[in-house]
Amino acid sequence: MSVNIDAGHVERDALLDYWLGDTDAAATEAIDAHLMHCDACGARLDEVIALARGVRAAFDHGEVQAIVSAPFVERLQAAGRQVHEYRVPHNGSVVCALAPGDDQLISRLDAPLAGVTRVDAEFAFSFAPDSVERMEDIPFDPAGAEVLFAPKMSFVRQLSTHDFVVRLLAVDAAGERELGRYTFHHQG
Amino acid sequence: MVEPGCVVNGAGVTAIFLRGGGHRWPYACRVDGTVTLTANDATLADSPEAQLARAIAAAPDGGARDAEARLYRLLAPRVRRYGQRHLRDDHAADDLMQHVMALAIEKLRAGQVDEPERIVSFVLGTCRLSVIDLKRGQQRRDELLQRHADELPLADLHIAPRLDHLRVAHCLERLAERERAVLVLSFYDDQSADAVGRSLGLSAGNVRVIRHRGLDKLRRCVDAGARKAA
Repeated sequence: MSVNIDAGHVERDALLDYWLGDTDAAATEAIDAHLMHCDACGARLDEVIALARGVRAAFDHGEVQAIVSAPFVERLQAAGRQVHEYRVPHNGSVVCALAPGDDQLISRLDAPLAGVTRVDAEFAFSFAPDSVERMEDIPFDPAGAEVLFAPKMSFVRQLSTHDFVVRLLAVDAAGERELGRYTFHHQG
Repeated sequence: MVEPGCVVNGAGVTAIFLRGGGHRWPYACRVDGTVTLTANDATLADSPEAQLARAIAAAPDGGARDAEARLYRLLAPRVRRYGQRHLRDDHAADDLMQHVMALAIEKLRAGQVDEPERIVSFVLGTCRLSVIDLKRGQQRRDELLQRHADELPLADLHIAPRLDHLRVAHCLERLAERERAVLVLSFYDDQSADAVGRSLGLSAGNVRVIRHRGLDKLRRCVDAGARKAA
């Protein structure tokens, strides 16, 4: 990436790097100094901060589903969030429920990911047999052996007893193949 | 004699620096990495901050309340941002803001700022030292706050807006899975590209590209929603 401080202003992506600690000491000090003079860049940084807080609030309120990581789950727990994890063996199933006080469910899906370049995930609910939701090109660690999924809690809280099937698919130029199939027997 | 220069860091961010130490901001970096002057000393001396600082320094102790309030409104939000970035806590940032502004006004009143027109540099330096102190848990901040808290004007400050989390959630749902995952993992507790990349099997550079693209889409979507609501 080229210069981010130019023409008297700091570009938005440099402010994002600065906010998230991705600038080194010299760049951080330079941006500190610039922000002490420049309210236009300060307002831009405020936008970045507001979006960052908005993302956190959306997740905390259970309004976001996302593929996450094991360190992220540890940080949720360290922050005092009550996290209920369900580990599902490869092609296995699990009985699951939302316990009182649960802030977040995490599904840990054991999967053979070695050599895989792209993974899609399909979700099917027993109460909607004709409908399949697909998440394309989900992030995963090829060196790992699991996919961690954080469902949208506001949606999960509305559900009565049902079965929920997740299929992980390896996708490449030759087509797609099933990596694993996971069944959740949800007790509403 | 210090000289300004530009440097490209490991993350590819070019930064202004002064050989010999210290920082001053009439400079910026051009795309080719050379230094350009953005304001001269005369401009800095004529800045609203400098004029207000001189007015406070020239008045009998505490006799320039209007200038103090205006200087506070100008500088306090900037100090608060510095605190948000370096302390990662809004309450601590508020404390820093109060502490630094109390100290700056105290020093101006007492004639202890050598060059009042350099008040912004003084405030930045005080921010840096105060953050170090705060991280060490020192108590001077509390003493200063007790002395000056009642005198500091708190109204009319520009504080970063809070967004409707449902609107943000709606916009997050419209992102690609990788973008959503990277933004959630980055912003939930302000993780660097390196940390997010390690946990998702991505390079830090790739995370930065995804993060930038995702944030841009998110911002446009949230802005469009806000305009629609208005």
